[in-house]
Amino acid sequence: MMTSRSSALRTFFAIAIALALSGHALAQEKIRIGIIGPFTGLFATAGVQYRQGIATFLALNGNRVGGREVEVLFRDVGGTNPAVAKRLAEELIVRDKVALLGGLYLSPEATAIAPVVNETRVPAVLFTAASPGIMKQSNLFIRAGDNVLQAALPPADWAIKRGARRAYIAVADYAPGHDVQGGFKGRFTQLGGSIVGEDRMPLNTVDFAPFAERIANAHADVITVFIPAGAPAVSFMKALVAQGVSPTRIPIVGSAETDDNELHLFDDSVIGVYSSLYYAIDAPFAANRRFKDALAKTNGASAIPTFSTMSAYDGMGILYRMIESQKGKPFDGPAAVKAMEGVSWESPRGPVTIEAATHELTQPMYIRRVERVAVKLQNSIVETFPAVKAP
Amino acid sequence: MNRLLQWPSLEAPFWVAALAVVVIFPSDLSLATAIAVMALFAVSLDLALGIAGILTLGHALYFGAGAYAAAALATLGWAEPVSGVVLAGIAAALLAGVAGPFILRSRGLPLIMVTLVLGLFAFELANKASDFTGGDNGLSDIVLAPVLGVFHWSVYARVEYLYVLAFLFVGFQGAKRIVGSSFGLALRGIRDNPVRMAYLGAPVQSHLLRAYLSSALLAGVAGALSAQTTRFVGTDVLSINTSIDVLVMLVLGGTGSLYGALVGAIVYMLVHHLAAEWNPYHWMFIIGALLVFVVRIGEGGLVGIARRITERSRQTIGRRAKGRP
Repeated sequence: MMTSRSSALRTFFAIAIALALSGHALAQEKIRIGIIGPFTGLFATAGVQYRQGIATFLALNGNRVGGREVEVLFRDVGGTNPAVAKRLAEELIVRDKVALLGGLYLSPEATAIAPVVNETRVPAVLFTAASPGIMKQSNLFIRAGDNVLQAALPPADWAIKRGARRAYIAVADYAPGHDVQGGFKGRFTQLGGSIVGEDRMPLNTVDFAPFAERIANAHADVITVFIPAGAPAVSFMKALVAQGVSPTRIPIVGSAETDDNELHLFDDSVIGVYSSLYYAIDAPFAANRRFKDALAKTNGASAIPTFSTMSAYDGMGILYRMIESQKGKPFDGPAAVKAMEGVSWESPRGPVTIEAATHELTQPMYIRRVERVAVKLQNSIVETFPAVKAP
Repeated sequence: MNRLLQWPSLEAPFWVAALAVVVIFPSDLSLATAIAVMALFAVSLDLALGIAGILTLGHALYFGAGAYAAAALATLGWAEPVSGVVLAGIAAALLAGVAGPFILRSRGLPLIMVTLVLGLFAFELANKASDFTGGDNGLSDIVLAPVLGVFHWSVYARVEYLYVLAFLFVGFQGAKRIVGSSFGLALRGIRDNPVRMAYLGAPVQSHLLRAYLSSALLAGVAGALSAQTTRFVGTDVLSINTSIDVLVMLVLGGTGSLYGALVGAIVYMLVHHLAAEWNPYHWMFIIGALLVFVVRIGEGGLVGIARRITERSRQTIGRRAKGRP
């Protein structure tokens, strides 16, 4: 009688301890982050920058946060293929059991995974997808990059302030180009300027001579540009110079066309081109110095910090903060998103805040100018717009 | 019946295995769904290219047409999925009915050029018509009723997979019927010697058109299935890459046997998937090596290789049997 009772008690304790341990194990369990990025194909450069940014972050912060071990899984979209991005998101969640998603270079990829995120309640941090509309598709998205309108509006204010009144808009004929066109046009005309010409140029061309001629004949006093970086951007700038539209005579304001990793493609005629972006190499912050030093240390001195590198680095920071917020409890994705609302920190780009209502970043925007610094070309800040909210 | 089609003994186990995937790999059904969609698309291309000899490099035109048609139906409120697929397939076939007579006038290289250009044209059109296609942003608000009113769609893709598999089965049997019929025989005759077939009095042009229409119908169905199971359509469904991918799958598996389309799609997608998972940055090397290997080894793709191996072993067995008194 006595023995059976004590054995029952012992069993009870054993089970209780086992449960307690398993609960403990639950809190200690490995947490996985799935990064969906363009690691091959047309945008592989951005994929390299993602990897460098993430490696830099991991080198600085280790792979443990909030009492959990973090494992990062990389998945390749390989070019423009939102349906593949969606399938990868499903696989990462269903089979690899990731708790968080990150990456997403192109906006349509974010659009495609929104239903998966909403159904499984696994949050996603968008590193660079910048279309204005995507944040409405899921309340579990957080933006680590910018809303394309944040970059499109400051050039209008800046140009007006410098006395420009006649603007020419030349954008590539795809959705982000259209967004920039609409955003700049609205702001510039609202401030009293007029648009003397606008062009939507084919996305897959390197022959810009006819457009450059139209631009030269329009006698604008500011030209705003949005073209994918790489060969098209280089050809476009060359075509403009050939038509006598030199950046030293008429301000040309772009976005990422002349970003620092692209500058080696251009000759010196690119000096003087302006760009509006949310990151600048010479952003004067301690966080930026720390980021640049660590980047050079982990990826070699040839790794050039770009907005994609920095967004991946900061995106990892947001993901780590989300895991940290769930310290000591079972991981809850939506709660982790909630915990990010209103959070501020100093990013390499400067002070940023995650807006509670939109999950967009309020961040500084920089107008930068291509200059020759020592032996190489570099974008230097000429004007800072602190704390620009996403419209 | 065609010698190339004599693989029925393996076909039943194949479909059983395809069904068993649901139980054996319950967390990989999303990939399995994508493979099944591409397999059906490859079967449709085999019908045009492998059987009828229509050298096309723009078959994504019909895949994309089906995808956009299915998405348009869903956004217009036609939420019933099965009829949506059928209607989208018919839409793609109608498009082929318009484009076909024009395309099929040419043969060989000019035909490749025309289909390529038409594909590029359709892609640019979809990019420009952003009110209808969403342009680069694609169409994402595709809401569908549950299949047959009972089976709900989900990220676990069980319903999606079985749904696509059912269409693949029906589509494949249909294609097999066409190939096995006297019409199919005539098509193969036209593929091998169109002039002779014309002298024999075969209506070459109308035969080709009918083959092209059935192929477009199946491609449209595959596109519609892709749109419904991913609930997203981007301009990539019309891109030249899609045309090339499906062609590579077909060549890898082997053209002209229909089985090659299934084998090629499965092997290509699986290798692609595993390689990309193993190394997300350099997986293309593996795909490239695989293609070089298959092309070097010889005609008929993987199916051709398998057939040669079985024939050779049969011969050696036969020789051995004869050798013994």
